[in-house]
Amino acid sequence: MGEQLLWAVVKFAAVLGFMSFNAIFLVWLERKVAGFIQYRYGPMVTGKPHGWLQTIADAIKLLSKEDIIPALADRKIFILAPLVMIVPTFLLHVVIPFGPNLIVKDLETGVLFFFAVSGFTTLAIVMAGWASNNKYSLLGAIRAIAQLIGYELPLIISVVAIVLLSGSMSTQEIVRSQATWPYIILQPIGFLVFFIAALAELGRVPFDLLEAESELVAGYNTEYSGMRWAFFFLAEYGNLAVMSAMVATLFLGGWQGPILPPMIWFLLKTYLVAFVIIWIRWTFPRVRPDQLSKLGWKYLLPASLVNLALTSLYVVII
Amino acid sequence: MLREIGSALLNLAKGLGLTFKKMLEPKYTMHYPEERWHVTPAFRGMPALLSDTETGQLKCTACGICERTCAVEAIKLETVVGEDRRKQLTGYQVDMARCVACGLCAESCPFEALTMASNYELAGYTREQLVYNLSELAEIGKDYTLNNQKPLPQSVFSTYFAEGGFCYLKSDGSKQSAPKPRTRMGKRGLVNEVSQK
Repeated sequence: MGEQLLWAVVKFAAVLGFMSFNAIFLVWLERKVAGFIQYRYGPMVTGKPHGWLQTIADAIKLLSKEDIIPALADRKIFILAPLVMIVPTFLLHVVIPFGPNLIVKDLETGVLFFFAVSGFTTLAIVMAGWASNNKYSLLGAIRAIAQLIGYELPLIISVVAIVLLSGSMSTQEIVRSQATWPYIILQPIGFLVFFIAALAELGRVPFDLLEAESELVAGYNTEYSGMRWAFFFLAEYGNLAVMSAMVATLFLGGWQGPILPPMIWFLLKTYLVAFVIIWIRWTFPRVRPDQLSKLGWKYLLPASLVNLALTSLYVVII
Repeated sequence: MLREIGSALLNLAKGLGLTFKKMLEPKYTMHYPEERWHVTPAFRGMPALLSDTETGQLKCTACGICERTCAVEAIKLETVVGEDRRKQLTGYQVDMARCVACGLCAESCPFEALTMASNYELAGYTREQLVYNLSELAEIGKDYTLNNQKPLPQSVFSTYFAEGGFCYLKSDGSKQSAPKPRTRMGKRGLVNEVSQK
């Protein structure tokens, strides 16, 4: 009993460390990549080689900000919303296979757990938008819901095809069953659908209506300041890391690779996917809300269903 | 429809390729303060009082033309009439918070006692710091003597081409020319230079 408790604490600390490292690293990476694409360097000064301390400096600044809660806001929900955003991100790290034996808990329904828990983002956004007592926040939240709900179906259906091929919902099993060919080669349509739906679920460009509204008018996190806003921000980058890890696990072969240790392969693949996502952000313009809905329901959903049908045929016949 | 999707994906990939190439190209950032703009001699920074190299006296005769010419009333003179019934300069004040660096004062000075210095880092913590008095202006003017004569403001173009265009100094003192502009005048207006060599 005591040994299990100790292991639990160790795993908790490891996940917390990984999540913090990801938040710091991915924000820095985003700013550097954004800079390089725009003919400039990113942060260069805080932390002499290429400003690697910039995110930590930003976090310290955010900690020292005043905590403002609007007078007419729904206090309990307002305070709970950032927590509802960040705790599922933390939970999602449970099913990510870092190595052949490096997984917090190899659930047999790992994939189902992952996509069930990642749906809490929607709830957090609703809570934030409603509790802010700000009609623009509410509108932003409603649009965010439309986007997130619309893209959950293609996301999950494209994963069902993978589950069919590998025969298990456990993430470790899916990685192991990619020993011959990674699923990106066997399921190109599935990969494309999953990637686009994942971009929409993360709220990243070209589907960043959630964030862009914040820049332009308002959004679900307008009324949040200081550390509360930082929770949303960290949750976004935590989700980015976790979703990249999931893409690497489901389609790129997880921790498998020839020479290097498995964990290095896994991290390489995860950060490669994260890099591509960041690269996409600074390349493409934003879609309109109607284009967004059209893409999700009229193109991605049929594509994922066709993919599932073809995969089922293959599995049944061969 | 499949063809549309295919061509759409191809164009998306082309866009990604373009931004990836941009990541690998040289950057335009000037790492201030290690690298600064190297201004041409005709650059108009702040006014400075010139001294005569032989006698060491200020060339200013307190005529007051600069004070009257200044469009924003940034220059204030204080004079006293000496025994030889000539005006002598006791105080000279330039309020850099008002000065717009137009150069009219230097242009209008009949004795070439005023010049536009080249320093552009003029910020201060208080408004009092921004008001330069006689000794400070003379001190700044010491860098610009007869041997290092600054041309009048209207010859800015001649010095631009002579110096080879705008450039900035790197930390080791060498000059780094500013990047070539990415637009040129095409047949029907400005054209972006997208293709790289």
